[in-house]
Amino acid sequence: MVSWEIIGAWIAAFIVIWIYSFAFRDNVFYKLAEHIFVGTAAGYSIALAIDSLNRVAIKSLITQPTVSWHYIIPIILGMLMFFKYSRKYYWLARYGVAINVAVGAALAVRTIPMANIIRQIQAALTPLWGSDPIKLVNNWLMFLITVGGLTYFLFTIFPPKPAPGRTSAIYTLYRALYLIGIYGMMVGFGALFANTIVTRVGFVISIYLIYLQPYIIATIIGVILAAIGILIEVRRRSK
Amino acid sequence: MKISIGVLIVILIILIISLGSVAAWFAKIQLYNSARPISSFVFLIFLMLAGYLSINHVREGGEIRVREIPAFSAIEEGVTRSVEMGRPIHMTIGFGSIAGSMAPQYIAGLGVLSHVARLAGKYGARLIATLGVPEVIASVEEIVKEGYASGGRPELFDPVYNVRYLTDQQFAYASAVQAIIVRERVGANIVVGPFYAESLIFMEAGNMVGAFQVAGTARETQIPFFVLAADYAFIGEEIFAAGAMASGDKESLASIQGQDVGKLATIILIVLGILFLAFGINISSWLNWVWKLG
Repeated sequence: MVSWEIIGAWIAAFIVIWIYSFAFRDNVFYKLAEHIFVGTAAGYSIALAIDSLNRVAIKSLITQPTVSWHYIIPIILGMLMFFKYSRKYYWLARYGVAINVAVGAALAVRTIPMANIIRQIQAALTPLWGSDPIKLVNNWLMFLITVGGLTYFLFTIFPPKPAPGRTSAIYTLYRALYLIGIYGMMVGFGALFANTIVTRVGFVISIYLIYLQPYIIATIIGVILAAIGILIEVRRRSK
Repeated sequence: MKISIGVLIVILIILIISLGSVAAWFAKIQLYNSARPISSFVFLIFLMLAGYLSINHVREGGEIRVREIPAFSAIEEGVTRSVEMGRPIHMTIGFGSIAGSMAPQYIAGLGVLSHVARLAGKYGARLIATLGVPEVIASVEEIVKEGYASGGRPELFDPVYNVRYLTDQQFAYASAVQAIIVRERVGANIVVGPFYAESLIFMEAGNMVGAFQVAGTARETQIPFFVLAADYAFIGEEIFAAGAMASGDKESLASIQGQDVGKLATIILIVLGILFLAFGINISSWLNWVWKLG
């Protein structure tokens, strides 16, 4: 007997194959998978939002109004956002968005100076002298790339370029640090890129093992359908 | 009437926060975490002061010099190329919720979008702005509409074609955006905001149709993809500077200068800290100093 689990697994295998088929060419099965995906995601978001509003705010307001009365404030702020569609009162929506952004920024500001500034300064404070050559090179690289990276991101404070034929020690130092910063970052980006690609290859393998390999017939049918979709698209374009 | 209601709302919020603080004081609820070093608070105050002084400087007529950002200049090249090819321009600022630590990146993306919309109006280009941030749908519509109007072609604005909200779920949004990039055969693909695993998907889609690509994010794990795959990339904080430059707002540029003062202070602290190490003084322990109350 065919169970809901089997039907779900077949649909999953089809959708995985059809989404991957986009790498070859857009086709009718990719469109189907895409619209199912976007529609489901949008519906899921709305359901989640309504459930969250009901569970967190409305139920608490009804059952414990003396404790949860302050939930009225975010509800009002949220409702203000609907004024975007009023020609006369559209400006009221700005308060909802502004407070939303401000609260997010305030929460972030709470931890960012410590994590992104103070801890980084502390990590960069390493001696640039000593007997261990490996450690010494490492410390110098750390110092130069940190200071160089910071110099690269100075957008408004930088020495003026000297006139042709003239030299400026500050400008030369600035350019040297700027270049060290950008090349240091490029090396870092290369390492990050390789690391992410390796992780993604792991994702592909796990998707194959979970969704495709156990339902190989569904996978083959999905591939055949995707191939037909691509051929139809090729013919349509050639006309 | 408009101002008075606005001011009233702000006063009401300040009152609620103040009353809450006073109530917490009386109820002996500790608001200050005495286990945290005071240095981060001092640095935060320093940054705020630097920002405030920079803003004051421009309000008094001061000028701010900004270094050239190649990716910013390349946006116009992308728009004109699209017009020449008869193709539309695609721009996205990302997906998710604007309430969070990513908010500055969405706002920088909106700044760049306003610049792109102005250029689209100026050169008569078709612009498709896709997004997955529900809170800013109306703002994006307004930005694109104003961009076309200030560019001299208000009749080109069509909210259904120009602004496309998809979903705030990551990969559903990504699959729809890549399909739009390919189906519309965009001439320029401009991607600025906070991006996650979908960054390379957008770049690959742009590459499939030979689009001119300008991309940027301040999320360090995604910068490599943009640097590698885009024609021009904003690296990290460059998106904030680009957002400020695009908005043409001097006060936004002044806030960038305030941040630069912070970076300069960080460089000075690192150099001084290393020099002090030679004399056996470790300023790292100073930065860990905790102010014990009571």
